[in-house]
This record gives sequence, structure tokens and C-alpha cells, in this order.
Amino acid sequence: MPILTVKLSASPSPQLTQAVADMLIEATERILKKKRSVTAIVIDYVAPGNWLIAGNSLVEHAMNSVYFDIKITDETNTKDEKAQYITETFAGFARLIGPLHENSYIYVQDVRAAAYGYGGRTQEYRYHQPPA
Amino acid sequence: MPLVRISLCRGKPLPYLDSLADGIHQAMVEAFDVPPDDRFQTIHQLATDKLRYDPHYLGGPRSADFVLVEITAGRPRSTATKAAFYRCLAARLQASPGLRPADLMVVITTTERDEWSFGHGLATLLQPANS
Repeated sequence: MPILTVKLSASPSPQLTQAVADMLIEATERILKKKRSVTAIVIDYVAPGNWLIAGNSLVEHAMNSVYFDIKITDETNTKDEKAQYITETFAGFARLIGPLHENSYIYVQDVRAAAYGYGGRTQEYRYHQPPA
Repeated sequence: MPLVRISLCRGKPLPYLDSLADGIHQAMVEAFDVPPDDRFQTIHQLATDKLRYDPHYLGGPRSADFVLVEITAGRPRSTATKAAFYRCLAARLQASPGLRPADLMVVITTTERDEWSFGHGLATLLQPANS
């Protein structure tokens, strides 16, 4: 059910895209219990000169950064699961493109079931009409 | 043949120290041209009054998690190799055990081959088998 949007301060590469996707899908399935078959990931590469923290670009900081958010249906994950997910995915990005600037943000976004869905159906609809 | 001295304030649990020491060694294997079985490390967990450091000099901000890694190397490495190693090390330790890059300081000292004895009273690196 989730969609992830990722921004990376790195040079675009198919290998890195695949490695990021593999890391995120594994963590999303293992920690948040989301099916990989309905997990979507969109990755954008941002030039370090266009990424500013505290008024200075990442070129000046000589570090990389990442921002990503994941939209999940509200009340389907616990506070502990979300905390573990943020910790482990931050570590995963540190392994892939680190060292990361500390102000690298991860946002697990709880969205209302009645306002979110895929394939033209809300998650609220699916909750009440599970597949046969 | 590097010798690595790891200094930090006392109070970290054993899994943290294991992860720290393992990460340092893995970075040395990956980016400092060190064989996997060439591992010699000492870990110094110091009282806070025994490890003193400026929180901001040429970096930081340094916290109570500050770690000083002193490497005594057996041969010189290029500036590019050292720079890549610093970056690799910072990334690995940030991933596990979660050390902030600002809390990592590294000093490398290079020695001569006749300054190492790996036992048996021998100048190991001058022996024919190792020359």
C-alpha cells in the first residue's frame, strides 16, 4: 500500500537506484509489514549544490543527504515500528551514500484511510471489502 | 599491520563497542588496503576527565559520544586513499553503531618496517619470508 518518495544528493546511477530500492523495500516489508507487490518508490537525484542545510550547500558541508517520506494508512503501524523503520533506513542510507548530514529527514506519514488509496479505491473501501 | 587505538568515554554497552571496532576494521579493509585478518585494536574507555577535547575546533559539534581513532600504519598511503578512508569510516560508523560523523576524529601515524615485531623477538617485516 505505501508509496515512497526519495530525494538523494548523489550522482544518478542505475546501480544506486536499485540498491536504494532494494534496501527500502526490504525494510518496508520486514518492519512495517507492507506487501512489496504494492510498494511504489520514486527516486529523485538532487545536485548537492541545490541542497542547502543551515544556509550552506552540501558541497560546502562535504556530505550527502537524503529526504524521504512514506505514506502509510493511519493506524496500521505502531510508534515502535515507525521508530525502528526510521533508525534502520537512516543507517541504510548512511551505508549507501554516507556520511550523511545529520539533518537528513525521514517522514513516515500516517494518512487517513478515507483519503488514500491506489487503483482508484480508498484504503477505507478495501478495509470494509477485503478481497475474496 | 596497522595498530588501532580507539578512545571514547566509558559507558557504552558491549554491542556498541563491538560494532564500533568491527566498523573501523571493515573500513580499513575496504578503503585502507588492510588484509581482513590483520586486526590489532585496543579500546580505551576513559572517565570523562581523562578524555578532553574541544567541541568545535576544526569540526564538531562534538558530543559526549566523541571517538578518537589513532592508527599506527606500517606503510604510507596516498592522500586520496586517506581521504576515501575517512569518508568510508564515517559512513560505516554512522550506519552502525550510529556514531555522528561530527563525533569521529582520526589520526594516522606512519612507521618504518623495522619498527614492528609481531612476536618471537623478531623484526618480522625484515625477515626474508616477508620481504
